[in-house]
Amino acid sequence: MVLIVSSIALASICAFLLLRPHFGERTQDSSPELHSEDEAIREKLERLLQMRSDLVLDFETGKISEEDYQTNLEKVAREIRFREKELLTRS
Amino acid sequence: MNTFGHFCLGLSWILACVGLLTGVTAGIKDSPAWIGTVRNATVLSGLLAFCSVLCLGILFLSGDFSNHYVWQFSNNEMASIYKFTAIWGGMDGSMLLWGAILGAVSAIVAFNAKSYPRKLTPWVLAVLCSSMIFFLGVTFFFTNPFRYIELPFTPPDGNGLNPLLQNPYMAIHPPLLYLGFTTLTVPYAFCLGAMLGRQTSNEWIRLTRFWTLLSWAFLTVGIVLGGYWAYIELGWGGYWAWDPVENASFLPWLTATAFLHSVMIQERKNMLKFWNLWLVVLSYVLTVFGTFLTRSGVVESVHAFASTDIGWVFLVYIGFVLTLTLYLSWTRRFDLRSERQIESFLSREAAFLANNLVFLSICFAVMWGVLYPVFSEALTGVKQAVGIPFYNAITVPLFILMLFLMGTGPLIAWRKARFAQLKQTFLFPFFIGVLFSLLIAWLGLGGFWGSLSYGLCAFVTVAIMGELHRGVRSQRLHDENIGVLGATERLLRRNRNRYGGHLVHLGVVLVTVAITASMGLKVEEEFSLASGERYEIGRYSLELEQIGEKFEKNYSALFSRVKVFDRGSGDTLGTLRPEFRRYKKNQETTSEVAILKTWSQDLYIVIAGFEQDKASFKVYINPLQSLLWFGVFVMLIGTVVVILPRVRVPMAAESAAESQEQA
Repeated sequence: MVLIVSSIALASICAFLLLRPHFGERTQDSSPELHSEDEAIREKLERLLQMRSDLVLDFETGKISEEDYQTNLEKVAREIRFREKELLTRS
Repeated sequence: MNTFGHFCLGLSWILACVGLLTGVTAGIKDSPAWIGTVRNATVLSGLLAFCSVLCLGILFLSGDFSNHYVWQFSNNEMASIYKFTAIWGGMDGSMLLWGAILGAVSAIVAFNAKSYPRKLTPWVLAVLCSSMIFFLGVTFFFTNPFRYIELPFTPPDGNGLNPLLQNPYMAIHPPLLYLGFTTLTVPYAFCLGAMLGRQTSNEWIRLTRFWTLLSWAFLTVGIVLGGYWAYIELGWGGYWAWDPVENASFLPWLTATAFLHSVMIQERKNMLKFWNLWLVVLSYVLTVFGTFLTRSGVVESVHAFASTDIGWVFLVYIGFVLTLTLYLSWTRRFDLRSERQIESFLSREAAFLANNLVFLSICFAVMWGVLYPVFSEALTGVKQAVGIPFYNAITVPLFILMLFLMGTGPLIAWRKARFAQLKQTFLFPFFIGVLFSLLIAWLGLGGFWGSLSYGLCAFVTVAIMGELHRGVRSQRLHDENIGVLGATERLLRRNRNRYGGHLVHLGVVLVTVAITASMGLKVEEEFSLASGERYEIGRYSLELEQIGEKFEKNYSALFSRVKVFDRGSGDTLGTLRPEFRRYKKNQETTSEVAILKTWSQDLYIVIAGFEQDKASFKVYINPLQSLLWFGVFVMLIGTVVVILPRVRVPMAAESAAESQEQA
């Protein structure tokens, strides 16, 4: 008897919790948006900044020549400036 | 309790079904209310699955032999801890435990769902629920551990757990492996969820980074503990025999390791999206495939569970996952295009890609070895198995190549390196490696592969140390007032992922040295001794002191006391007591190993038999065995360094703010 009652109670609690979001008070959804255009640009910018930091570390640990470093750094910096401008324009 | 556990399991499965349906609905409708429902369904399903495993635990601890599974794997004489661990002593409980851990992991993910992007959440939870539906469904419908015993009375005692499984390492090895398998489900769910919801940015990688590393760590420890259990319990002197059960856990480890490397390329360059999708799915599928192999009876193994006829369920599920992935790969092919291309074959990206290919080659080779008996039987009608020599012949050269790439990778720059630059960083470690190889060969400590392996270990170590040295030097160039320790600390703090990874690689080097030594320098002898007689082996002199008999609560044993002396100095090093046990309940016999451990080698003694007043022994000298376990410990420390939480300041936000200020 106890078993039947507790099982029914458990199933009822589950049903209540499943239905609650549909009948309860609607709260503002606070989850972040994904892949809005801003987010996409921000992601690209983060990748570029990571590339720049890798480039600096590679240069400092002697893995690339001064010439390659300057060329690549300039290339990455240009892309970073472009993305930053894009982000600022949008904001 | 039996009925309640059964009810919890059933309800948990129903809730997982609800989670899948509401997840898909929430994903299509993009409705917060439906997202709330799928979240609650996932959390409840996970909690109930966990509840059902606790019910089974209570049944075991209370010795309720009316339950068929408890009767099968427990008895009154077993220690309480083994009564509880008997939950995963057989297939039914193992599947339930897997489902329960998966449920708990899914519940944690669902609980934190508010911090995930809204459009991703329902799809991720739907995929997690689909995985739960499979594992809980198999448990509920095919391997239910809550069945009553089919007898008119309740037996007073049970069969008991296999004595080999009554070991502390066996108590924690399976749950750790299941933790590894189930946490691997999280990146799989996020990846597939991102594809289903057409959210193909790299956000899912950032969100699952912790889970992927955690899974890798659990798999590593689980596999190694399994090896350690085999070493101290099975008595054949080794820790890895390429058994199908071992291989089943090794296969997803290989693909997960490949993924950990290639995901770095996606994070940095937005490349290899397609490749990573398949690596994640493959890792997940291999966890299911391993279970299929060891539980379907398709492949025979010395420590597989009894074969069942549910193999087809696993195959259908694997087929479903692969078909879905194939469909998603095709329909999202434009979203999965790489943003950049590999600029040069002499670049870190190319080295990582090569590393991935080697990992997959090893995976393929191992899988071929595992499936060979199946293919041979299908083609010739005769089941032919491949043994250790096959695996060693195929995988040793691949592991050697892997070692070379492990040393070379950190020396190559991202994007594009030049030979002139590479020469500067490469030559010294290479020279040391060659020198070390030649020295080992000259000393006769290794054959061709052994010398090459030791040499490459030296190469990798020097390469990593060189990398650290150059990094510290550059820090000191920036700040002249900083000391070596301060510069090292700053370098490690700022590049924790990189140096954590290097620490893992150093652990791999230690493990490789130990494995190479145990493969090439192992000593194995069999002999008989009467009381008082001595036998000399390696640097040891062994004297049989006594042969005796002892009687314990659940077993009787014949033991021998062997005194170990140093052969040169004559000093006593210790006394070993290997045993030959016979368990009362099921008359099973086990040979208990005795090991004298030192850093340089293990003296490993097993009783091979008794003849009149003599005892026969099998003795192994396993060199550098402790280094293997220590190496794994170093690997774990490295993983913890990478996993440890950090305050994430989005670089892009920081940079944009700086630019705004400047403007």
